[in-house]
Parts: sequence; structure tokens; C-alpha cells
Amino acid sequence: NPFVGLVSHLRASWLSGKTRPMEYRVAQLEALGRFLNDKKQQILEATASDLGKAPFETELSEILMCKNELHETLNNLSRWMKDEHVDKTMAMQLDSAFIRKDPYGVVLIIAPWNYPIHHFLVPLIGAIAAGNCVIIKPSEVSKKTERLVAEALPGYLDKDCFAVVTGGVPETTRLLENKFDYIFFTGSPPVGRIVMMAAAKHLTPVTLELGGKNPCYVSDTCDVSNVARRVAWGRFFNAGQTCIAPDYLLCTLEMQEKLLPALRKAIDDFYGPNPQESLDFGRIVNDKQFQRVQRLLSSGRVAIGGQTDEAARYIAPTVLVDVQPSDPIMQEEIFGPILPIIIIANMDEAIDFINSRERPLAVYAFSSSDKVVNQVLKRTSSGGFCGNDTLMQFALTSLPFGGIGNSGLGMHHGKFSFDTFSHSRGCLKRGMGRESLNTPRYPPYSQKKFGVIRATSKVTRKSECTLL
Amino acid sequence: MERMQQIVGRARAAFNSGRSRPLEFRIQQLKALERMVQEKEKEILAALRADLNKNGPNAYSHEILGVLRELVLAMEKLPSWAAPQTVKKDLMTLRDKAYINYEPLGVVLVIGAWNYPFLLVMQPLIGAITAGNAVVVKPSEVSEKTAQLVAELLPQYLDKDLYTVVTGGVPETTELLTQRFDHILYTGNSAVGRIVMTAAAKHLTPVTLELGGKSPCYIDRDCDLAVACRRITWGKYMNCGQTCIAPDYILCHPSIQSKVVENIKATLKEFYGVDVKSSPDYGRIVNKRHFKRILDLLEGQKIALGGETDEDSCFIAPTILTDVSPESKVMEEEIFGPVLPIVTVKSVDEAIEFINRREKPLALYVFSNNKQLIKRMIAETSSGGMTANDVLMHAVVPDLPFGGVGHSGMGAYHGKYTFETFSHRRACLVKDLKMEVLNKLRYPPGSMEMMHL
Repeated sequence: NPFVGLVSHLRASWLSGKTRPMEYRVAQLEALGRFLNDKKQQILEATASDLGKAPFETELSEILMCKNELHETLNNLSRWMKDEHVDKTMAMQLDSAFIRKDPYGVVLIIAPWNYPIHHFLVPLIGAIAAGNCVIIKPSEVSKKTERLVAEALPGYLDKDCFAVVTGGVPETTRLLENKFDYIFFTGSPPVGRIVMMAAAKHLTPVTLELGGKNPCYVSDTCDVSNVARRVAWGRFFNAGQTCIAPDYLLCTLEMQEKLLPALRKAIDDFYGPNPQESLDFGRIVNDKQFQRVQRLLSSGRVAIGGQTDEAARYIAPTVLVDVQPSDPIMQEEIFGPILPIIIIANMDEAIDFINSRERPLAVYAFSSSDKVVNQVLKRTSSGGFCGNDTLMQFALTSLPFGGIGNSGLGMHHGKFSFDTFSHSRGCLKRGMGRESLNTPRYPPYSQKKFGVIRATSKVTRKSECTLL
Repeated sequence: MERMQQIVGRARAAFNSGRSRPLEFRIQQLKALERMVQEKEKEILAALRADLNKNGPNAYSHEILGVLRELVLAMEKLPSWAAPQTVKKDLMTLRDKAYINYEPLGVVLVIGAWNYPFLLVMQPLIGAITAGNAVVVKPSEVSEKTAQLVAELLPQYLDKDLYTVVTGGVPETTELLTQRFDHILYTGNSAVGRIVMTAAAKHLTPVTLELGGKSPCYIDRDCDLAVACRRITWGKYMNCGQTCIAPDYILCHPSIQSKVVENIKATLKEFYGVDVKSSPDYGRIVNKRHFKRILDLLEGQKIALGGETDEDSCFIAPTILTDVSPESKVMEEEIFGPVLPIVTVKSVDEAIEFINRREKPLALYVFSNNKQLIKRMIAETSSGGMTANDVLMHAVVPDLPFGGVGHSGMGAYHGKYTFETFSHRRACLVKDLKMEVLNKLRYPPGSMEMMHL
């Protein structure tokens, strides 16, 4: 196995204990910050080359958001690392009971191509903050960014503890044969299964950030132009290649008629009359994805957009109508700049539609009525939820980000990243004195001894009143 | 296959009906469980005695008391555990509602183990119900009587469709694992843990694996040896050594090895009398297969104490092995029996190195008067949990998470952690449909002013 040497090297560094002191972790995290600053131009160029990403989008999603996570972590690290003391029973009052946050050891982060910096860097922040050694496997699909990360990142981090591995499916498969102490994977559900099965062989815990079809319900009572803007922004950001993008829209025929002109206007406001000329609209990452997404255009009828340019891997911001649940576009996560609209009669039907499918990473609901938003929230299940906007639940570092069911397991962002990459170890420190207090627990067992145990360790219902 | 499909299908339909979600319903089910434990105490104790020769007060305090405590805690805390948790907002979200919603996962599977057969299905079940799920319970077939009893009792007290018991052995469990669950909590050994996780991977089902390993117990020269050995004796020989967090082996300096043996010997007499076999408080090995397995481990070893066995009653006397070689069979697998090997080490450095060369254990124990040494032990090793100057006790602190790491497991439960294990923490952000002004900054055409916000 070509990676055995690398993994052992990192494991040896791990066992040496050098990643554990807070000062070390802070130094590595600060170096990551410098990487983001120094290489900003290269990051903009690489992501523009790989995905046609608008500089604005890159600054926002790949740099600013990473920096937010970095600062949040650096600001709070010492507090997060502290032992968490817990309440004790009467019998343990003189003991010390606490939760120690232990690093796992050598962890593997596998990142996808759609936000190629963000999706390895944000978990990496958590992994370093938690005191681990890390192997980073960026996506080979976003080629220029992969090269940038492989060449530049090692210069900023301790080479004994952090490494970047490049390659495609064969290399990743061999990498996964090694034993890791945690695996963090972002990508598609089928590959998520493969990763989890590989992890199972070594009993390695995992976090899987996967995907699905994120429904977006628009009720009849809403500010149509605001809805159109917020939905269009979320859908067409990064040319639709966002795991939490609104995948399809659910609304009544009436609402559709109002939304279409509003969506047309929003797209025009954002990207101008010919989005292919806009510097702010991205491209599909490669030919394979382009062909896949293009095929989906045959579902229903094109109401807005629909133009494509294969050489440029350009697909126009598109809205499809007359889409049936059985159409191809409703069978897979779109991951492209196409918004199909499915007509439903009312909110209940929308909720039933959502619940008849796999649980998505996000559910969106738009309504001027709080009640409607709350109903959709209460009666559906998803990784996360946003009412009256799209994507924004992702940006708040105090909210956990993760899926459920087919959309993933585990979570991260902010402190949740630190917790994900830490083992919470239950610790109890007792004294050697007061041995007489232990007598009731020792054999020979008796009812009398038992009575003492019960009295000193039980938890009574506050609502009950016991007369002794 | 069909039967399992039907059972899980029924549970899923029951969950989808939504009736397990209101807090009042959950509390009602928990109250019913409390009644069950109180009303059927005699039957439960009889099953535990039949399966493991656990006697009354012992069985009560180790299995029933713990369950009642979890029930009381759950009923008390459910409203606060289930309440949405508001989170810190930033400038962009100041006017919004941002919170974490605790939601049930759906249909969860609890696979129990045979060593604390009642506790290990009930404790997870309580948390799963508290979190609003439907639950399929698969008690261990090795502890037959308890499994049968649980299968009889639960339907008498709980909602029959939401909560089901499936009995059977490996074939039934294998079949069950082909079904889709929303979480699986498994207690048992690492080998089967791998099988469970692999089956779960097919459905992307999250798992909590409470496994085992060899929990080391380091005895420093600077400690009250009599007290240390007393506590170790208690934890090691309880349930005839069949406790996942029992101190598996001892690490100590050669100079105190014989004193350790002497102290444990004296304590054993105190606990079980001169004739251990006739003590009502000393358990038996659960079955002949495990009896033979443990017997095998004694081969070629220096028996300093004990070693007597009786196959008919699956009796193995409290046994200590001295000068054990790290490469011997008894040091390869989790003993899970009343055999205590002592491996000598010259220093705490050697002990730490020894521990770190092996798979991460479920528990780690250190006995010492030296606070710095204890700090070092904790800081330089990794284990599921640990106790200093005692054994087992970290597992009964209600607010400590109980779980393994590495080969000893993943995930944790007990108390609030069971609730969290069986819940989905859903991030919720609710914005105003108005206030579009702020949003305009993020829309294309790209504006760099946004960056400076």
C-alpha cells in the first residue's frame, strides 16, 4: 500500500504528543490563516479555472467563511479544550468528575470539488483545533485547486503532522485501506457508503456530509420578488453546484405564474440579459458533470434560460415547469443551475411530497405566515432548515451543519467541528481515603447494604414527596 | 426476511403516524416502563439469577437500580432536553430566529449484550423513547431467560407497534441488520461491531458501538495498596469478571507484585468467604463456550491464586496470574472472566508505552497518591473513559458520557447522552421575508463592499 509509510509517519508524530499543546495548535491554525491571506490570488485563479467561480463567490465562500471559522476557533479554543466538570451524586461530592476532550489521532479529510478550499479547510480547522494529525485528500476533479493545495499548503503546516495526498478513485481506495482514527468525508451518498464500509473494517468513526434534493416550498402568501431573489441566489450560486442549494421548488400553479416573471427579473438583475457574459456566473466543473446536467434539461419545459455551451461548460440559469415527479430531473440531486417547479395544491401536499422522499440536507419554506413556516419545519425532517431564505443556515458558525438519513451523519462548523474530532472521555478522580464509604458496595451483599447504596445514589422525582 | 421487514415496517408506520413525538406520550411510555420494572421486579431478578447466577441485592443494584435512575432522570429532564436550543447570532442574523431543534431519528435498533442483559437493553431503550423514536430491541440470546422475559413484558406495558422485541440468534440478527434503521446502538464485541457497522453503512445508518477491549489497571508503588487491591478485587470479580469495564489486567512494579496478590487474596476471603463456590454472591460464567475460552487462557501461566474450575456449573475461581508475558494468549483478547494477569513494568513510562502500543481500551485505571502521575496517565493515553483510584465508577456518574474509542467503540450514551445519541440536531434559521435591503449586498453583480462587512 503506497500510503503505509505516510500514515505510519503521521502516527509516530501523533504518538510523540507534539500536536497536543494548545500553543502548537494555535500556531498551525494561524499558519492556515496566513495560507488564506498569502494565497488568496492563487485561490481566486484556481477556482476560476476549475469552476468559473466569480471572485465574489470565492471571496465569500472559500475565504471569508473559512476565516470566520478560523477566528471563531482561535477565539474559543482554550475554552473548548478545558475539562468540562459535571454534577456528581451525593456519594461523589469529594471526587472530581469531568469530560476530557482527547484528540483521536490520525484523521483523514476527503473533500469534494464544489467548494474545494472550504470543504477541506473548515474540517481541517476542527481537526487541528482538536489536536489531531491530518491527511487531506482534496478532489482531483477541481484540478488547479488540488495542485495549489498539494504544492502550497505543506509549506505552512508541520510536515510531520499534516500531509496532502492527491489522486483519483484508485488512490483514494488504497488510502482508505489504512487505519485512520477518524474519517471526515464530504461528497455523494454512494461514495459515502463506500467510505463508511472501509471505515467499518477498522472501526473508524466517520462524519459523512452528503447531499440530496433540497425542497423549497413557496406558499401563496409571500413577497414574491424577495422570494424570487433569495431562491435564485441560492440556486445559481456556484452555477448550482452547492450541496444545500434549493434543488426544486414546490408551489401552486397560481404562485408559479407570479414567480416566473419575478425569477426572470432576479436572474436579469444578477447576471444581465446574457448570463454567459456575466463575470458572476459560474461554470460546470467538467465535461462529465456538464453532460449529466444537460440531460436533465429535457424534463418538463424550459420556462427561463435553457441555453448551453458545451465548450465553455456553460448552462444558463434555467427554470423548468410542467415537471412531473417521475421525470429524470426529480430522480437525482441536480447540482447544476436548473430549478424545476413542481405544482402542488397546498402546503399539506407539499409536506407529503417532501416526506415521501429521502431526507435532504436542507428544507426551505417561504411564507409571510410564521405558522406556515413552522408547520413545514415541524412536519418534515432534514439536516437543516431555513425559513424565508436559502443557504444562510450554513453561514452561522453557532449552528451545526450536518445531514440525516441519506444526506449524511454527524455534523460540523464552529465548536461542532472541534467536538467531531475529539473523543469525549468520561473521567473520575477519586481519593484513596474514606474507604469505609465503599463498604456497602462490597460483598457479602445484603439488603441493609443495598439500602445504603440506594439512599446515597438515587435520583428522586422532584414532584414526589417521600415520607421516610 | 419477510418477518423482519414486517416488524420494521410496522414500527416505521407507527413512527410516521407521529404519535411518539408529543412529550406527554413519551413520558407516558416511560411511566409505563417504570411500572413494569417495579411490578415485575421478582421476575426480572429470577431471570438474572437463571442466566448469570446474579443474586438479589447484587442484581438489583447493578441492573434494576440503574434502570430506575435513568427513568426518573429522563422523565424529569425530557422537557429541557427536548427544548429548542437558541444559538449565538451574528450581525447578519441578529433579527432572525436561530436555534437547534432536537428531533427523533425515526426507527432505531438496540442490540443488547448478555452480561448485564436487562440494563443493556433498557438503558438505550429509555433514551430512544425519550428522544421520540420507534424502537426495535434485540436482547442477547445468550442470556436466554432475560431475553424471553423482555419479549414478554415490553408489549404488556408499551405501545406494541412503536416498540418491538425481536428474539433470536445470529441468523435473526443478521436478517434484522439488512433492514434500514435510523440509528443502531450495539453493545458487544469488536468483531461483531465491525459486522454491524458494515451492515449499517449500506443504509448510511449512524451507529453507536459499545465494544470492549483490555482495560489496563496501573498500580503505582506510591499508593495505599490495601485499598487499591480492595477496589480492584470488587471491580474485577463482580459478575464473575464479565463486565466490559472490568480491570482486565494489572501493570505494576515487580517489587509489589506479591503484595498485590496477597492483598487481593485477603479481600477475596472477606468478600466471598473461604469457599468461594458456595458464596451466594459469586457469579458463574454465562455458558460452556465462554468457560472453555477462559480456561484456555490459563494454559502455561503461573497461577498465583485460584485456578479451580468446575465445568458443570461453569464455575471458575477468582484467579490471579503473575509474571505474565505480554505476548501470551491471555494478553491478546479481552478476558471477560475472573482471571487477573499481572504484567510487571519498571516505571510509569513503561506502563504508558505498554498501554499505547495496544488498542485503545474502554476503560483505564490508575492507582496512585501522586496527583502528577495521575495527570500524566490521563494526558498521555487514550481510552473510552477512566477512573483514578477506583474502578468502574466513572460509568455511574450520571452526567459523564459512556462510550469507547478506537476498537473499544464509537459514540456514547447514558443519561442526556442517550437522548442526544437518538436525536437529530437540526439547525434552524428563520428569517423575515422583508428586510431585503441587507440581502442586496450579497447578490450579484459582485460587490466588494460586502466583503468589508
